[in-house]
Amino acid sequence: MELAPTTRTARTDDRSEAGAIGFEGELLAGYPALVRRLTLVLRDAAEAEDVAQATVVRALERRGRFDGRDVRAWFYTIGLRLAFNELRRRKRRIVESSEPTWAMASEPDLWLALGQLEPQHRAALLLSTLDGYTHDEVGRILGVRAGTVSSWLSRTKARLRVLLGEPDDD
Amino acid sequence: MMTDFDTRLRIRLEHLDGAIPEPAAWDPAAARAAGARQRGRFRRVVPALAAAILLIGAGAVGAGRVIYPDNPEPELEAALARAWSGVDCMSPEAAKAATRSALDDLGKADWAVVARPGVGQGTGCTAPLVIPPTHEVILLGVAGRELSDALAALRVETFERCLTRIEARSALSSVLAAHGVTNYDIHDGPELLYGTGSVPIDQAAAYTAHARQCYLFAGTGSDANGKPWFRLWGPWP
Repeated sequence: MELAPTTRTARTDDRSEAGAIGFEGELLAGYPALVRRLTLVLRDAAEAEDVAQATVVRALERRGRFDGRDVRAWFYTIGLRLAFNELRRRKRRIVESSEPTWAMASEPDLWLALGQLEPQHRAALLLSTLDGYTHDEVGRILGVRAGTVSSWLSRTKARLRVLLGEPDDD
Repeated sequence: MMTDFDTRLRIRLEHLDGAIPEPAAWDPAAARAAGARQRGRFRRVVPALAAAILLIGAGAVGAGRVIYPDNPEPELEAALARAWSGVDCMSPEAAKAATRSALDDLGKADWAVVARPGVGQGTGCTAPLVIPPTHEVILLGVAGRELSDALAALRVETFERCLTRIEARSALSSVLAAHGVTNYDIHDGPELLYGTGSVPIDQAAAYTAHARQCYLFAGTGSDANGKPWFRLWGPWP
């Protein structure tokens, strides 16, 4: 059941008030976060928006398959699968790109280090570190076992330590 | 166990995440183009449906009025907007009659009025969704204005107070009972522990922090059979 639209002007300063009600609202409320995640996975903000747009459409199309639990996780699952497909396609063609200024102005060495990681490992790191998902949840989103996620994260962090020149011991 | 490196990495990732340019709002036309690029076979009806839902959600139009992004049926949209204008809760029966009348007046006898499953459940209120490619007007189940207002108030109330799961269930049940909603599910399980649910984006962090200690109302929807559900978000178990 959706909420009637006329009630949503009660707090016009709240930009998500309107879009954050019901299944579709949750999708649209989660859209900016999905674009950000996909930007870091795809390493291209414009392409991330393209994939995120397609993700919304795909999610609405497959709404009947949603289990009623965590909309955001389901949204990520679809979006990341589309992103991985896009990366596979990208491998088959020559892409000339430069590093984005926003990344180079904020965390240039981290951005470049993330680019050295496998896309799935990068996604696992982001879901775990930025979104707070457990290894089990990350595994469900990425379609692998929790143990695999743990292994990926351990290796990924070890690699990042080297790439970022961080000391081995804390 | 979280190490110092983990902490530093998280902070730096958050910094990088925060530097990403703000994306444009979801755009049905862009979605259609992106969909075409992604796989080249998106049906036109899908973004049409999505766009209409977006507009319902955005409250950009009057109650019940739905605008197709390319606006190929302005007369029908205007007629439906008039039919729903000033009506707090349009029942499925009234909606079917009003929609059929609008279609007939416009010479659209070949168009179908489709009631989504369960559209008569919950409050029984509806909103129309115009689908030009398939010549359909789909009736969606929606909460009426009064219930929407009550749920919005409940969300604020549960955010400003600290309710236990039982107290929050009781508060939600009272609101629903007061508005005649009897056949529904309450979702208050752990699945939203890491989700923001239906809360304001710009207050998501505050709501998330609140939900670690207390239960709050965080949205509604309907299952595949149209049965409405209402979500409570809190520190389960």
